[in-house]
Amino acid sequence: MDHILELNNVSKKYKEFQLNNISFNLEKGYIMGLIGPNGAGKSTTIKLIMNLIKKDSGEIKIFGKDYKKDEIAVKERIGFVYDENYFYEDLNLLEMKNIIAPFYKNWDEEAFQKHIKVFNLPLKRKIKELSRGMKMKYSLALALSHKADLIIMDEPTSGLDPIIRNELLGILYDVIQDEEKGILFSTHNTTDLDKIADYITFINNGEMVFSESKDEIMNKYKIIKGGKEILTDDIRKSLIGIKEHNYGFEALTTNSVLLKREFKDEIIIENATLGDIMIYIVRGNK
Amino acid sequence: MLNLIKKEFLVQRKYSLIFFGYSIFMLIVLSLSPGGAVESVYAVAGVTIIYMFVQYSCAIEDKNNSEKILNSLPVSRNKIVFSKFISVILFSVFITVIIGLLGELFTKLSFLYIKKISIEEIISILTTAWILASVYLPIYFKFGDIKAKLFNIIIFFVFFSGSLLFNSIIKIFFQNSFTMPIIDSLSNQGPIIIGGIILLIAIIIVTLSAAISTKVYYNREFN
Repeated sequence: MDHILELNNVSKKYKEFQLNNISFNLEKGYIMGLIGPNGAGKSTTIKLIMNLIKKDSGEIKIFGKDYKKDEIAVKERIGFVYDENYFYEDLNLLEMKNIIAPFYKNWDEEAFQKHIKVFNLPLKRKIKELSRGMKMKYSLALALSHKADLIIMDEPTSGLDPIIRNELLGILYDVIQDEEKGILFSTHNTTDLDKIADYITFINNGEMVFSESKDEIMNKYKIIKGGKEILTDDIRKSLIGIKEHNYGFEALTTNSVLLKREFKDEIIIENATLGDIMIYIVRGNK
Repeated sequence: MLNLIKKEFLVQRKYSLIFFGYSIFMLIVLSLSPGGAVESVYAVAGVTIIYMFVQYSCAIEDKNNSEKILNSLPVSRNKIVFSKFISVILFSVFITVIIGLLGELFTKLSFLYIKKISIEEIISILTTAWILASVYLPIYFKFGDIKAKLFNIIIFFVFFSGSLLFNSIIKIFFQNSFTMPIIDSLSNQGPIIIGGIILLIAIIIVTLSAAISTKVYYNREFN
């Protein structure tokens, strides 16, 4: 398989936070969602991939190459969109583009102009005068205009209204249609990924919870509801993030088939969304 | 790298009027009376404006957090560092020419005591500005602009409180038995050779500073 991005046991330690042994792979033609609550380590992971911060241990390979040794060649093929505007805000869109474009050997002016037109962006307007949605679209226009094979996006949808978010997700879906590109997309808003992600990597408190295909995750994790009388110690061990109330309990489980066989109509098994999975796992069994 | 240098000037475009206006203001104000200020009019004006350029350049990167973008582009960190140094050198030459030309113009105004810019003054502008930038930029590349600003306090202290200390050091240097023969042989040279030597020392300091900057910037993290 062609991995365009590989992380093996990547760790980074700060005074008050630690990212531990993060491992995942992304193949071309797919979208991977990097999920987790705020402060889980998603942005740290992306900064490590972009070599904005240095890893303490582990291995990062992009397009099969060492991300540091071949940094320039690798970055030629990466389009990035960050959570904030880091452009020179006193410049207008055209001036900023004129700064960025010459760095890329494969800059495609025609593609840029097309994206600017489709996204309805005013080239003569200063960056500081743009709305958050416009800034995000501008970042995306730049990321998509140099024939990048890997698009890395850190919380691109945060703070955007549902219409622009939907539009952005549509664009990303179009981007991967040629099956030559891959997208890594971090978000704490999992509804974005319900629609478009193929793989999900879940990080919580600096630890990796899982990195699997979305379909497998959806098949594996189910929500179980039932009466408190079935909550024996053994059953509790097979449940995640148990929430008890007056009439019974709700929890997440990866043992839905066994539990259904055992308790039949005493329990209800429901499909979980990515949001549910994240909430139950983060809550844990306190 | 040319692109990064162009960027340095583009992002400071809106300050160009300030730089130009400030040049005129300083030249006029400092040369209104025949006292000591007029002697150092070019050096004070030139160094101040070049130092402003260095500071604005770093402050703009910091304000926009744009180093995250620059370091995500296919460009080496060395080039980011070198382009900053080269733009400071280019700007310093440019501003020296501008204030030289303005001085030339102002000599025709009878109420000003300004003289034409001399080769010594050109060298003193360039060397002072380059040495200041050579200290400021490695601190900026290591710690970012906010901590580098602390350096300004040191500069302020040196400029306004350290002149006595500086004078003593110079005296010791000139009366030292080891340096005396060197000073003597230098004083026999023409001003161009002395100026050339001073400029060469400044260039060596700039080169060392750029080398230190690339090393510290390579290890910098952008959280």
